[in-house]
Amino acid sequence: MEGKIETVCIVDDDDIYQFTASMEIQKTNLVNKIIMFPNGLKALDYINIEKDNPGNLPDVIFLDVNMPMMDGWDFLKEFIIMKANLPKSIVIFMVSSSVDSRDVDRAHEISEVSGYMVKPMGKQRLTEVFNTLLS
Amino acid sequence: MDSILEFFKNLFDAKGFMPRWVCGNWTELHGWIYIIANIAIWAAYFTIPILLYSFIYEKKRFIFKNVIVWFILFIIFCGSTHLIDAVIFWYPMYRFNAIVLSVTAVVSWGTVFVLYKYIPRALEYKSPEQLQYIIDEQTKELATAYEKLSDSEKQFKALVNNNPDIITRISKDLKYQFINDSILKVRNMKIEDIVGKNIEEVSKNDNSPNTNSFLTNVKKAFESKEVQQYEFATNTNTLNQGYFSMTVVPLKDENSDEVEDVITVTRDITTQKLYEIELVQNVANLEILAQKHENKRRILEDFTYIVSHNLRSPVANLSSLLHLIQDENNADIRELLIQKVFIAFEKLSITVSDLTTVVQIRQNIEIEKELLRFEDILKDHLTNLEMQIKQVYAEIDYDFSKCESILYPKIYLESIILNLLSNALKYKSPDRKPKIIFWTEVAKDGIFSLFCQDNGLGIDLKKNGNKIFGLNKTFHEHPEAKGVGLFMTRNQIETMGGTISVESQIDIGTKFTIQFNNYSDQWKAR
Repeated sequence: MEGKIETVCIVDDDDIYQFTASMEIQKTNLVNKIIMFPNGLKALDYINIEKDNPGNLPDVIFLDVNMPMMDGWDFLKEFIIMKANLPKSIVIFMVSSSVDSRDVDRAHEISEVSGYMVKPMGKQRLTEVFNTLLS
Repeated sequence: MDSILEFFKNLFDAKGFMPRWVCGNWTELHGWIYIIANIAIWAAYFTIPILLYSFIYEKKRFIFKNVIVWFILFIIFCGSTHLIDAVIFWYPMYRFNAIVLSVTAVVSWGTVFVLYKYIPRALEYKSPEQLQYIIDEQTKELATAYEKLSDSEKQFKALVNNNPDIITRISKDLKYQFINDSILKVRNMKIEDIVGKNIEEVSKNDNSPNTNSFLTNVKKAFESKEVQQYEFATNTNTLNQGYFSMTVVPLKDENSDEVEDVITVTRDITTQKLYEIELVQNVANLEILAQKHENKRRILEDFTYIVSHNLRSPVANLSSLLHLIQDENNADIRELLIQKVFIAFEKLSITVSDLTTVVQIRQNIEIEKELLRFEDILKDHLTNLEMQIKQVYAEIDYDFSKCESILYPKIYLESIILNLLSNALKYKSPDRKPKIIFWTEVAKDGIFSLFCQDNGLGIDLKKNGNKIFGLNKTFHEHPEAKGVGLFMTRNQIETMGGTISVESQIDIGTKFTIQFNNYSDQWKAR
């Protein structure tokens, strides 16, 4: 891994957020590849297709809570079912602009969720997260 | 035996005897005193039976008739012996006299026997004084009893007449047998004009609209033999609108078990009823208040959600962009970031402007209403969207016959119908020709409803039911999906006091139901 995270996945319908988040992630210099999906369904489809190619599967997913078609919670439901068949473990962070405590509590109740991050994430916060994951 | 025959053969014969005048030493005076006294006794003894007979003839029910008859016979025979005694002075018919004496003896003993038999009964009979005394006593008792009776009747009448309820007794032929004075408090009528009259006859003068239900219940009480009870409202001498409870009690005959009369009791329940109405009104007001409170709470929750998501999200983007610009040395990338700032700012502006519009809608409860025809508004939109409709071969139908028009703010109704129409067009199914139908209905309570049904993609309400009318909520990956429309529509409808709800099935279609609130106005408007 050479001290770097191979693939980070951003699932969010907001294109400006996709743009800023990917720039912030790049600036940490701790990630090799970034893939992006506008909603949970697209992300799930991708994982399904690539489930036998561990190299193409993300190591970390930043998952938005509110999205059309399939929101973050629905994605998690499907992902938990699929998880056992995946060749590698994927770390998931829920991301939202919401500071609603109900969303935060809900995220903490799901063991597959490693953390709940409030937008904007920022380069500094991302660096801390990646360093923790790498160590 | 020969002597008996001989005796009777010569019964009226005087042979062998001498007239009394010549038998013995009679002076003229002595003889005549004897004769006259005897005749006088006979005359008297003959008159007494006539008087007695006339007495028992008059007193037909006299129980001593037998005794009197015996007495009459007894006296007649006694009288006869005296007559014969006088006749013997000239004609000495001693044989006949012996027979008369014998019969007299038998009759006398018969009388003794009858008297003896009747004495115990006679003893039971009271003397006129005794009877008078008894009559006097009984008259006194009767007078006391009558007084008591009349007291109790007075008491009963006072009770019935001072009873605030109107009490009547009605016979099987539906005639009033009795009514107490309480009727005078509610109706300008005379008791005499009611008692003895038929219900319908009395009610004709009364003009009461409740006569029918009264008649029905009275008849029902007679037929079913069960107590009938109902409430009614009427105007009275003092009240415009009085409320009364009516109880019709059937009175059964103890022997035949048939209902011969009914008692009706009419109670004034105006005070209770007014309290009840006030209470119901208060509860309704409270419910409205609670509803308003709930609405306010929901609006607040909406805005909390909006601030948390819709406002925070573009602000977070701007914050990220600004930090990136600050750290960026590459001029090209800086330029790109600045462009993104404008886009993010534009999004924020739209959100803020949408919110401002919603706040304006929420505050503008007094917005001017006008009488609008559903058909006119829909037709305008159909003309404006003609190209769009033709492109997708949409079939649009409507039926506003149940409720053609409504008193409503024009821009709201335009916006509501446009949102429903453009949503239905936007989320059409790629597999079907879009069919959209609008119609109106009027519920029993007068509430107007507008419906819009399509055969489009449908929405998974289990997942999105609570979000469908939220700001910037979209459920389809669609380039035009902005999610402002239904949020605005809901706010417009709710501000006017109505509700909007949705039923949907994925890949079958969606049906929106709008219930307008101020229906009573609209009834008038129609």
